Amino acid sequence: MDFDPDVDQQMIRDSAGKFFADCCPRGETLKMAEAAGTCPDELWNSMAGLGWMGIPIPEEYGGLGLGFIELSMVLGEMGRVCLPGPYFASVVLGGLTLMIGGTDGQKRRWLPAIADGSCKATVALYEADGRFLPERCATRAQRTADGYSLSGTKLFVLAADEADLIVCPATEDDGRTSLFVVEAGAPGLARKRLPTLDITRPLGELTLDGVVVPHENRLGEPGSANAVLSRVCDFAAIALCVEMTGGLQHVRELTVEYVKQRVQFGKPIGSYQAIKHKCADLHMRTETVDAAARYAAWVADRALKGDDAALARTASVAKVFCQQGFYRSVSDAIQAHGGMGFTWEYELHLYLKRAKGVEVMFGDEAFHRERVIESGGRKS
Amino acid sequence: MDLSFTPSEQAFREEVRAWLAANPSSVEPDLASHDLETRVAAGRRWQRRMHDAGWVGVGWPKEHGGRGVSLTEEIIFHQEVARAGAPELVNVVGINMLGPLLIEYGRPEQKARFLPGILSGDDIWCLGMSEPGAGSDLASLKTRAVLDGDDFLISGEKIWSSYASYSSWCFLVVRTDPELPRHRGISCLAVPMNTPGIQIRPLVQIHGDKEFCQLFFDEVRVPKSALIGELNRGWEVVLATLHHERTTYALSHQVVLQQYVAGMLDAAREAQRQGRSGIDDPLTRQKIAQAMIEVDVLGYYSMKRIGDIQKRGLGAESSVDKLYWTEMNQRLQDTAMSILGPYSQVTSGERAVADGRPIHAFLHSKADTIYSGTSEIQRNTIADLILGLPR
Repeated sequence: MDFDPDVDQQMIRDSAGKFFADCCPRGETLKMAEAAGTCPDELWNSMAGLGWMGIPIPEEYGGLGLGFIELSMVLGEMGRVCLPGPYFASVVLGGLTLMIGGTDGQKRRWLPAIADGSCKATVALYEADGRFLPERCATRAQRTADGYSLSGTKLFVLAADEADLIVCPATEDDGRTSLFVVEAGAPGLARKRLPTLDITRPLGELTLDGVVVPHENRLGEPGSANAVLSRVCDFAAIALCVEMTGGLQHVRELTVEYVKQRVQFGKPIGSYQAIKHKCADLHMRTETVDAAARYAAWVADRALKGDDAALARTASVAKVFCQQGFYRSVSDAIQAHGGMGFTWEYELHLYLKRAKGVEVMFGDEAFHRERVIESGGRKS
Repeated sequence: MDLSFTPSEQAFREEVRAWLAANPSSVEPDLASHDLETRVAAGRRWQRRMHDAGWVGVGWPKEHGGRGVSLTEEIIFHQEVARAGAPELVNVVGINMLGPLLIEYGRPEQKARFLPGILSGDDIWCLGMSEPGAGSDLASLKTRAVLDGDDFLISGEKIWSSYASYSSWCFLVVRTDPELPRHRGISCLAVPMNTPGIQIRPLVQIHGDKEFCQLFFDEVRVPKSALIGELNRGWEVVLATLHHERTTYALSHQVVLQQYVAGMLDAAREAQRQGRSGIDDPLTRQKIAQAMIEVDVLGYYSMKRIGDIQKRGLGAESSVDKLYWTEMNQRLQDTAMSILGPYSQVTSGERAVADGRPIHAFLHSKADTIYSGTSEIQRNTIADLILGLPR
């Protein structure tokens, strides 16, 4: 029983921690988000140079062939600084969807470019009805002589305006929902960014108006969209938990530091019990959220290696628990910071917005709680 | 990072499970009695049975009568006991707190004298810590022990002492030097409960049990050899005891709570409110699922803590352990009561759900955020000792 990362995993975390300490000093990610809603190309290329986009991708497809725990080392550090940019969309959503849903040929075609960072991918999960899984997908894929013609509207798409490849679920003529890889320049594809609460992770809207998709861009088997994406979303939910843990650790540090130096009534406010107890709760939540996220990352790691048994239940448990702890803690942190917490130039609001953004991604609390109770009461 | 159990840990689990299957606690139906006296008597018989098979104090070193298993295996043991529906040992205070403390701070003759009786359950121990004027501020305690020749002479009053009326020994925290700063002049004594001058007054608790007591000491004479640890250095021993209590209970409790949740699901299927079962009500389903989530996370968190403790030892983080599980348990018990609808009002008999045990558990959970340091004290400890906030 060892919850700590091993030496190699720790090395990845240390190197990521150092990388962001250098490239993203405090306030830097806020500037990036304000400037472009994403990370600069230079930063993206540096991360690519470290091989991070290839962490979970098998070596035969140009990646490093590492596991989910290694991926979580990097994600945690990104969450700590609230990094903008398409890493999550490209590696977690795009990469895993291709890995899980693609044929060998499709993996050979697309994964190496994702792994080296030259291609950014995403998955268009939502439509106007607010479902994140394509059980009833209004986007249609009509058969044509040499492929498909896709028409419909996708909403709340991560990295929509940056992605080179967009995986879109669409319903075929026979009613089955399949996944299609749409390339960025395809005629008939229009994309726009939606003004988004979480400025570090802007969402987009895609309009597909008779977008021609060649036959070989239909991912894997016809009708596989729901099964593939529900599995991808379990991994994605766990990835969010890992990000949240990093964010929460930073929020704890900021808050403890602030209440130690802020003086009112002649004493640091951290000496008052009203503030102490908020900080104690912040610590308790950070430690329990960390346990949930790390455990879930371990389960996800095993699932990537073929043992799926606990994936869905653990993803749901961790998602609900982590997002509750994250949101409540950031709210308390803002309260403890007083006026400073409400100030744009102080970075705390980024974490509040992250927390609210995360709550609705890949299933909200109600969705995941229902899944937990369906999975039964006796587990261990 | 590897969260799987080793083959030898698995084998240990199988061994515990097999013994509990062959020796179910149902042989002692009185363990579930509503009457505390009957329950304690059955508890002694049950502890004796487990002790004879070597299952008491599994985490204690072998030389002191334990099994010397690792912390992970100790947790496995508690998980299996809970899974089998076996009760907590009647001498839980002795096993979880006094034993480890005597092993660390006791003199060799004290270990030889006390440890066997703690394991067998022949000697039940109670704690004499809180006083009417010293609760959260335990270090303000006033019960005095004055050296008189080769004896201590004890006078004062203790309160909230669990199982005191069934105990043969009391772990008593006293002031031995009122001149020293308050944390310094405190010592710990092992006091036989049948010593002349001790008066025991059982107090009726919130659920009707008379488990805790008020103790009065009037010039109670014990030999100097009753001292545990060094004279005037008892505060250190008290803190170690509290860390043990806070952590052991938290980490071993997850399966107990899992059983509650399973019971909640059963009740949600059976008990009717407004003409339908809770399991058919979307809001109730959500509440039960929330409890399941929080209990699962206690399991993950316990695994993380086992690793931490094995590497870094116990410490102030024990406050986090206690704070999390006790507050979570109270939320869980609220949910359990709401599921029962009007049946939540019937405390025993055939119209009661599960013979009223959910109601008892609900009421009992109110103690969890008070004993061994209130939640407020745990938060102060976390803020001061872990986060380093100014006092």
